[in-house]
Amino acid sequence: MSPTDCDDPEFAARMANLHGLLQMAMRVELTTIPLYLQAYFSLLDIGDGTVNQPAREAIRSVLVEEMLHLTLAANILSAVGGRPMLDHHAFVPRYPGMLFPDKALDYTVTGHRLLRDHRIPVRLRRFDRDQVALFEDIEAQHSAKKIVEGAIQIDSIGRFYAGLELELQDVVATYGRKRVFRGDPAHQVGGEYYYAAGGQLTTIGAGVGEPLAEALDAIRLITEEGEGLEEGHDIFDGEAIPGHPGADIAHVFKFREILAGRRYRPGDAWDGPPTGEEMAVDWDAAWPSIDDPDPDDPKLPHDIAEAMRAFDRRYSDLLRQINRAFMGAPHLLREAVHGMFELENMGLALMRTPLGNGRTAAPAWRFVPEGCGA
Amino acid sequence: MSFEQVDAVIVGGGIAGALTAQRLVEAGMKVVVLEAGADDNGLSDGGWERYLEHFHRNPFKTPNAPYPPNPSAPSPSVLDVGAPAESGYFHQRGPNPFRSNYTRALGGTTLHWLGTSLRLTPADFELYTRYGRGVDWPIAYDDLEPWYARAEWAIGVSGEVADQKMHGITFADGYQYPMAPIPISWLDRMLVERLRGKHFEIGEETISLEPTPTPQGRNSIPRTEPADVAGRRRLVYEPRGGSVEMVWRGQRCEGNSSCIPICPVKAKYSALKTLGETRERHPLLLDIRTQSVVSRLECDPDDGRVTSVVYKRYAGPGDRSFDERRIAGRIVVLAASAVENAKLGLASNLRDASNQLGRNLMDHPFVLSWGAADQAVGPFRGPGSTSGIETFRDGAFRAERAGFRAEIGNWGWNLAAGSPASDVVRMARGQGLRGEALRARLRSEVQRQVRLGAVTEQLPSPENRVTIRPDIRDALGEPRPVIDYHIDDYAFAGMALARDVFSAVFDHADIAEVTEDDPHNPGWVERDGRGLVYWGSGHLVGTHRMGADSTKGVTDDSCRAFGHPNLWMVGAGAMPTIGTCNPTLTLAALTLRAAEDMVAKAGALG
Repeated sequence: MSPTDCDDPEFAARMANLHGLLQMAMRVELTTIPLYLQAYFSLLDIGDGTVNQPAREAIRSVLVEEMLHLTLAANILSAVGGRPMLDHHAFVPRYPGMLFPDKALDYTVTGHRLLRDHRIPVRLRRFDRDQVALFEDIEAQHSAKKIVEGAIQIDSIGRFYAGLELELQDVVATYGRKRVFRGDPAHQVGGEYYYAAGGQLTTIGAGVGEPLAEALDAIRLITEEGEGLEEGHDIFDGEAIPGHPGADIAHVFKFREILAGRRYRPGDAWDGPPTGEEMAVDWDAAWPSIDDPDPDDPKLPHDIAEAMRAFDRRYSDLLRQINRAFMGAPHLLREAVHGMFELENMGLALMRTPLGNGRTAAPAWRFVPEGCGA
Repeated sequence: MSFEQVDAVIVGGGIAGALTAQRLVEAGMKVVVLEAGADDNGLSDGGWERYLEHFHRNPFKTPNAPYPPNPSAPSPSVLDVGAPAESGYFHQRGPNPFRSNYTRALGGTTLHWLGTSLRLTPADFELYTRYGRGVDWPIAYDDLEPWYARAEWAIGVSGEVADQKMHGITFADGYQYPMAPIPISWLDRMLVERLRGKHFEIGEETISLEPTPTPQGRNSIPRTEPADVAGRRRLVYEPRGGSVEMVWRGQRCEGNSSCIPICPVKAKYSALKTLGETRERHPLLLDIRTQSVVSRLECDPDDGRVTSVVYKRYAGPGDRSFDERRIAGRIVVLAASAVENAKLGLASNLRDASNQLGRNLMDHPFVLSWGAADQAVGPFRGPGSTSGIETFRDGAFRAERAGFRAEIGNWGWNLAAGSPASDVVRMARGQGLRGEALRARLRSEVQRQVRLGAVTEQLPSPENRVTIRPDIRDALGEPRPVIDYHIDDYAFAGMALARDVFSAVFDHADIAEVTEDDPHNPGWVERDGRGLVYWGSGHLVGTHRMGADSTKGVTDDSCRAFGHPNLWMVGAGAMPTIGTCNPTLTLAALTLRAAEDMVAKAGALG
């Protein structure tokens, strides 16, 4: 902590709170990735490859955008001098768990406490109707804004980011942009290392641009790609969905298309069902992998439990590598691609491994501290 | 018959047509691209994904495997260009088979090219002056240099200028490729190590065997420093994929290792990128019409102007029904590939005082040598080739023997011996291996596979030609190309030299050579008791060559047809000689140069 922070404990507390909110944003983004990947893995290598292709592609396209969001949040965190925590045991989500853990309620926005009415429990499961309904719930904007005295709602990812936006604006207004955006620009990942992955990866205050505006733009990209709705935009019943049906629409609408087995078309209402062409979904054409996999489950055969642990170690190595990439070594993102392919291979191998009870194995996505669990 | 008039009609939606369309549209012209391939294409909703499915399901992973056969606009296939035969689209008369193919679908053959983006050497432009062989081009390297730079930025090439300064190839000051080089393969690294300081002697000449990284039309890391491209300052290059869907915007090469026939993440350039982004920016100016097969051009009998383009809009792939339509353009461009351009020119009785139209068909006969390294070299990871031995592209030996470049393959023996599928069959069926033992043997053997390929120059010959005959037609009644082709002594001598060079490379690099060509292979050729098999390189060149005047070429050096003031013929068919490297970058540079000529002359053609 710099001398300035010690001289000004109030500023230090505000910055620690801001870092905590941004780390929570990264955690929420990271939470979704294994969820979607689990469902995605369960759709790989089934039949001739054409079955559930549209659903698979929808999930994949959402996934790459979540990875973009994670990286954008990391850049904002770095810009305000915070440290990403993907290498930390307490930070990495466990399943089953909550999309927003209780820890999120420790933070404040402009001095107001956070309130979570709508709890979203998350489970690692294969592709099926319930799981896609969970995905929809994760990405949806819940209810209209409720005014609760002295509290900021975080019932959805979009609401959480809206709170983050408020807090960031307020901290900058109070302490000035120079004090707030004090991170080393070299710690951010530039677009040359990360492109074509669901949108433009931007740096925050690392070029000639105004850092607050760049940070707010990044946050808006995240919420638009997720919920499809800009904060502050009042949606009227029957209003057409935003985005371009047939080309790119927000995550929540992609999941609604899978559930409905039908595409949206331009002009469809955001609160109505899709009315475009049919989209074939075969709910049975997925590997019957176990729910909430746990390598410590004593009923699992030893070698399968070991394969699950090997997956966890590989996943944890990958997170550590990405965390280093987010702390000034962006070229590591290129090398991390190998680990991502390896995870896909290991995950699919588990999904295809029968357990003898009509179900197959699955990865647990647990974080293993370095040097542990070998 | 319907009739309409626009500023420019471009026949063919491959790289030459796409780059021409982009330039003319940017100049404000209303452009129609007529593409023979199907409506369902790589720019259609879900079209790319359907190509991928088709590729995955097709048991034969040939260059056209992802692209569904289309009897209404057939493409030659490498499976039926094997022998003098008439079973496929080509009617081959021999004596040797023409072994290369192309793709009639939107995006053209860049759908399945490898992405190799080398420049020709200055000597390649004046083969006759320097070595008394072939012909000189009407332009020199220096004339094309700024267009090479523009072409590299239009394609999006990853490479390093310092690596490419060889055989007198120059770059303007301040120039940079748009993206950093693609990392070289493990095999390349081993060869760099083991060939350092090694040479090969041809008579008096001593030629280095050291490999060089290859510039490639695929996305790597964009440079963040500005560069001077043909006199214009360019900032950061934005890698692209040609689609409005963000997730398909052309990712960085991640080593899917199927560049030929399809890059699943669109890291590799295809003309769909140029077409897609041009149409997105100028939807009112660019009109791409697929399922539109051009039959002929009609010309004014007095001044030779092309007055209309006659085409058949067919109902669907395999459907014989069609509407015949006419369209006129102030500018008309043939950009349909060397073979299709020649075919259309012949079908339209174009004026050709040089009598070269359809002649001088060339390819790079491709000779393979293969062996097993003494250690794992990691094949089947990354692009099909990331380095080459470029030192044999020029030298005094070219007076007697063809020059060549050695492509260092990165996909084991797959071209040479059908690996790794054939290895599985050999070990399982032949050696009775199963399970763990089979996997272990596969891993140990396949991991050591090395293959070199010689992209060998072939001289222009009037006897190697495309013709049409009234009795040889496709389902729509259009002529199928009739091909006469032979391998001459000069090319054979170059191929034999390449074989010797490769044996020396294997010796220096501790690679046990196992090269074994099959005398029954249709590509088997023999001279003086020595035989070898050549394959096609997919480089179709030379059928409407540029010339200094109308007695020497079909078009002038800007690809404008002598005798047809509003007609340009672009593509690799314009190249007077094939040179010593893969031709796509050169045809792109020539096309950009031609398009500038079209813009300059457009006013006078009103």
